[in-house]
Amino acid sequence: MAKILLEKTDYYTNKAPRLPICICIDNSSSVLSSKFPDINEFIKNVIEYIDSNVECKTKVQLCIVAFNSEAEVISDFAAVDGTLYSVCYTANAPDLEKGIKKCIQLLNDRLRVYVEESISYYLPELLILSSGESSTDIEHIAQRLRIAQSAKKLAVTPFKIAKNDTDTLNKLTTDGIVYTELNDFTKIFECLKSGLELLSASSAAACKTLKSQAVGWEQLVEKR
Amino acid sequence: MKISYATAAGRQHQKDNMPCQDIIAVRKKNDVCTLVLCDGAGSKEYGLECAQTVSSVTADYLTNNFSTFTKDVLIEKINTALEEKGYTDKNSGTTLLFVACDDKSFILGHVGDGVILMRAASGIKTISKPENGHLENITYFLPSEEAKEHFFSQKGPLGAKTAFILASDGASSLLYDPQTLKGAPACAKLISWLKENDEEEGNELLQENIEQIFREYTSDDISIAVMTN
Repeated sequence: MAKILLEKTDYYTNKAPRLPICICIDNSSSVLSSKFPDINEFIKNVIEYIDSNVECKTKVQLCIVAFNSEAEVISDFAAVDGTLYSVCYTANAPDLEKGIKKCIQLLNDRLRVYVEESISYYLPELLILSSGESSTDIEHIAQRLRIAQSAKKLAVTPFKIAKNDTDTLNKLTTDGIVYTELNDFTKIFECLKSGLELLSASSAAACKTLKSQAVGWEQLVEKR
Repeated sequence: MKISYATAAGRQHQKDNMPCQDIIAVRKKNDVCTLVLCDGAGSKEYGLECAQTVSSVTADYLTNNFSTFTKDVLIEKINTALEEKGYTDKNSGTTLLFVACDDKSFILGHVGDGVILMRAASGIKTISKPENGHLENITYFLPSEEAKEHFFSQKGPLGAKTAFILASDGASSLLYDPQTLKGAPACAKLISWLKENDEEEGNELLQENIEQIFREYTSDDISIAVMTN
């Protein structure tokens, strides 16, 4: 039988740097059910924007986690291919710690894939859309997040999406920035878009020197 | 169903004069066709023996109990067989990937790293991706307390185009895209080689490509198995 060998184009060796973004969404009873059409519109806008931008589509890997009393992976890290996802309101209590822990686990798993595949990556982003309420103590997980941010291993941006105390969300960041546009998910999307525009405008080599105009998103373009 | 498979010791094992610790077991009986791939833990004293035991027990169980399969019973049978031989999570460990089919449906299962790809009408996609533990280069093994929690299994109907590829971690990175979870073009070729040739020729083609292509990209043991109708 004739010898047949695979050609180089038959197997994957894609080594483009990746930007992992994890969106952690509170779908507990602490968020008004009437907000969910807006939340899902926000998700749709993010996906459609990334899908329409060649640079983002190549580099961004998106993950969506929803949490109430449990954490649910709506979409594990993957390149955006236009598939839309949505989250539903639940009547359960908000376990913010569980939601963040799930995100950290998924982020760690993703970074491990990059290491194994010898793929460089941008500073991972964790977006937390939360009421700020938690049924469990978040001190320990908040400390872990702050340590990771101080060590430049993770960027965390919380968005407050209910009229509750912001102190909890402040604990999750080292820069103290908490976005509070309660009813305007368009602004949250614009904030994310600003960071992603810088990503697409920059070469990997220039990433370190770029400064974002969108407050809080400088880290997005800082390459490890 | 037709099955082709091949394994090769990685460069590191060859250098150390060690055997390949990837084990593949195949059974065909009463219209049930079973393919099992185990990657024995190189870090454990009885990694190879564990892979041999787990692949054999899994293949026998699936072939003889296809219609009543549960992962709990399979794990129990695996644990019993390992205990009888004195293999524990301290001295042994293996990953597990399997697919079994009768004439209408399939069952697949996965613990640890490696990848299972499936061809359906919509194309070739990753149906179970590698799962790693909390530390780099650590994965989930059988036997272990956490294996049950991390045991992925799925049942589904067989379509006219359904085919499967199982690959150990040495080969998986070339065959699936962790971004899109799509199978590489190579997957369609591997399936078509088996479709167009008999099993023995399919084995030879796989072996040749593992030796010539895949070994260029990894020092780990490599195994690939293909099942198609």
